[in-house]
Amino acid sequence: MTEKQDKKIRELTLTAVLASAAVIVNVIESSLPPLTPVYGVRLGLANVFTLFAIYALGRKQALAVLIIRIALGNLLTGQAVSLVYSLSGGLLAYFAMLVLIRLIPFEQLWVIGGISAVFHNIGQITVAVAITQTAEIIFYLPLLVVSGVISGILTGTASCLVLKNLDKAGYVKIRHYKKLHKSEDKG
Amino acid sequence: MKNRTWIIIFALLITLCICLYAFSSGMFLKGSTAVIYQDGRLVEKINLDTLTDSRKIVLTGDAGENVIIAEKGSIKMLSAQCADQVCVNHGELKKGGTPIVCLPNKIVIRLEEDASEYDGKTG
Repeated sequence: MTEKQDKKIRELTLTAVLASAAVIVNVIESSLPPLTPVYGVRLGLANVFTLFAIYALGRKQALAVLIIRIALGNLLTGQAVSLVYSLSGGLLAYFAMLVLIRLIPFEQLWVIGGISAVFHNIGQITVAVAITQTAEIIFYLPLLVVSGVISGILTGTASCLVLKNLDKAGYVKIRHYKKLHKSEDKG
Repeated sequence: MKNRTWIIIFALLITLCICLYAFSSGMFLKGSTAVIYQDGRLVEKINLDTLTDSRKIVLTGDAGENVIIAEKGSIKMLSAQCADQVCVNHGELKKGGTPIVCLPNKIVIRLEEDASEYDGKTG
């Protein structure tokens, strides 16, 4: 087997492992009792896997992990409607991440987690307003943003620590994304 | 940017959100007419002040049945067949509170003013 093929298989396997781990975390999380009576306030632990994939594998693989997680996770736990909410939030957060990884250094992954969580909530609420045609739902946004920022910072920190240690041990190699602008100060 | 700058930005954002929520929640639900919407369409309009007997309303959707109970001065979601039970846990609809929302079945219950107007601005 050539070295190139070997690398490809390793990547594919890691993507599959991350996706299945994310599905499991999603299922476990949704079977726990809700933390608050407000709909949509969750820890969002599965986000760790998206962030991990984006730095350990790449953008495409991270998108695959995200979509597999949402599709399978909702198939196993929720109703058809919640798929639309998770997908809209997840995709908007993913696109925000694509920009953020080129603006913010890896060491500040917790910032990326926090900001992308806000986009996740905006995506969810927009779709909820569109589906129910009730503008009042937008008043849940501030509450969701508070919980989203806190959980996003936690998941960002978690994936940063895991990536750093696995990189040190030689299991994964952290990807470096080109900066969009030359930053004036170092993080 | 430095870590400290980001911490300040996030702290400000959270404070702003809490303030927004605190101010916005009092602005709604001032009337005494409970209005039930499903899928953006008006289903039922009940004046809670003039209601004498309790009324039971059953709505069905993608996620099963929702049972709403209306009594003099109060309305609540009695039961729902969805997994998260957010609307049931919401309890009674209070003045100045947030509307009862059931996302799986796209049901919204809120209070509105103008009890006498039945064919007003519903669309």
